Amino acid sequence: MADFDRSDFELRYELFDKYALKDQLAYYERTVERSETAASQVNSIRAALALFTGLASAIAAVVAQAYLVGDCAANNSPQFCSAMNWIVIGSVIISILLPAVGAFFSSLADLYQWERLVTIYNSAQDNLEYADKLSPREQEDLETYVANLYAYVNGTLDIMQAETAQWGQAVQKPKQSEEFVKEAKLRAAKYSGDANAWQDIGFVSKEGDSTASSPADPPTTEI
Amino acid sequence: MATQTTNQTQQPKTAGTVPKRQSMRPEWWRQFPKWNFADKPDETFQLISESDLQELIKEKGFDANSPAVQRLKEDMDVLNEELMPLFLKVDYRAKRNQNQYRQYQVNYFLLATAATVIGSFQVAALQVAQEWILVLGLLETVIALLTTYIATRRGNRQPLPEWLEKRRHAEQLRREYFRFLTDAEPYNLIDGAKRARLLGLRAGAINLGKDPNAETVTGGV
Repeated sequence: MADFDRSDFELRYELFDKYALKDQLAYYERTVERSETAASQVNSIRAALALFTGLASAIAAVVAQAYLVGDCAANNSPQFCSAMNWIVIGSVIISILLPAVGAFFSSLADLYQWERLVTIYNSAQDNLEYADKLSPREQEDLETYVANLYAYVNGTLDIMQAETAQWGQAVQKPKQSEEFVKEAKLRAAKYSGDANAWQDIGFVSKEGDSTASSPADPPTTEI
Repeated sequence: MATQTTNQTQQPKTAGTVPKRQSMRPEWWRQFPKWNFADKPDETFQLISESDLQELIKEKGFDANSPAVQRLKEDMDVLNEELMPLFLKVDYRAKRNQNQYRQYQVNYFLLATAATVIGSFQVAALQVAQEWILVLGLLETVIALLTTYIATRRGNRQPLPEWLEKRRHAEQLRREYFRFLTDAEPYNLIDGAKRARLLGLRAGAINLGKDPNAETVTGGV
């Protein structure tokens, strides 16, 4: 603009520095902090669940082997045998529940991609801090000041653009949820208008197959 | 906005003014999608408000009545007229699609977890409690039906690509806002009404997913 003087550029530099660059830096720092915290919490939960699953399985195996194989009541009181029986049942239930809950947290980590975001935003943060060094200086003459201001603005905007592109690549649809919906649709389709559907309600075949399947299953479409 | 650069818990202007949440909930839980998402954008939101500007002027010792400040205010008026309505719309759509996408996914994860647990108990019940097989099977069916209900309710909408696309446009519009404000290229090459017109054309092109530097856009000035 022809009618701009030095104070125009200085004012606009200050505005850009505070509300574009510093604001973006604060966002990166905050996102890195939040993502690191979330990733750490979820990883701890997954590790704890795996640990307790293993412990529960071990307890179930040891107690069953020690007290429930053979005649427990011959050497112990009925109350003791009953307690051991409940310990085994409880341990088995825990060893079934916890891996499923662990899978939920794994899916959550896939969905949010916290660890990848930390890498992307740390790198963008470093680049923005470098761009900040290109800021124009008060001592510079007007021509140099304006040239440096444009270099600084364009450099900062380029970094923000590159970060957006990388972030977009980080977001991916978790495959496991697509597969789950596909299977659920297949199962649900069996109960839409089939008068004999009640016969299949148990799902589990006598051989212990927990998934429903039938030659008459209709084809499913992508979600 | 006074603490925008120092308050590390505040989100940037692009993501909207989300108030600081004082919560004991774990971080992963706090990032869960919202179930009561606003049905329209906050039309009062501005990337830089009048009070932000006044604060900066005071902080840096500029003369509030100087021609430079007046010219800046005129530029901000142009931005509020030509760019901000598009930014608000696109930013809101990006956030809404992001929330919907995560909502669907979290729903599926929860249902899948429930299905896995029930399926496992069904297998176990075969050995020890066959009378429960029918009940567990029924629950399994309810989960399958719920999943189908959610998938059908979503229809053919694809929140993920829409989220990514709108977020990209919102970020590009935000960059354009600062490009105009700092009078960077191409705005430093023209003056007055042509400059405002160029901003409108470029913002419109970005909103349509077109290249704002294309000859068909800049040629209109």
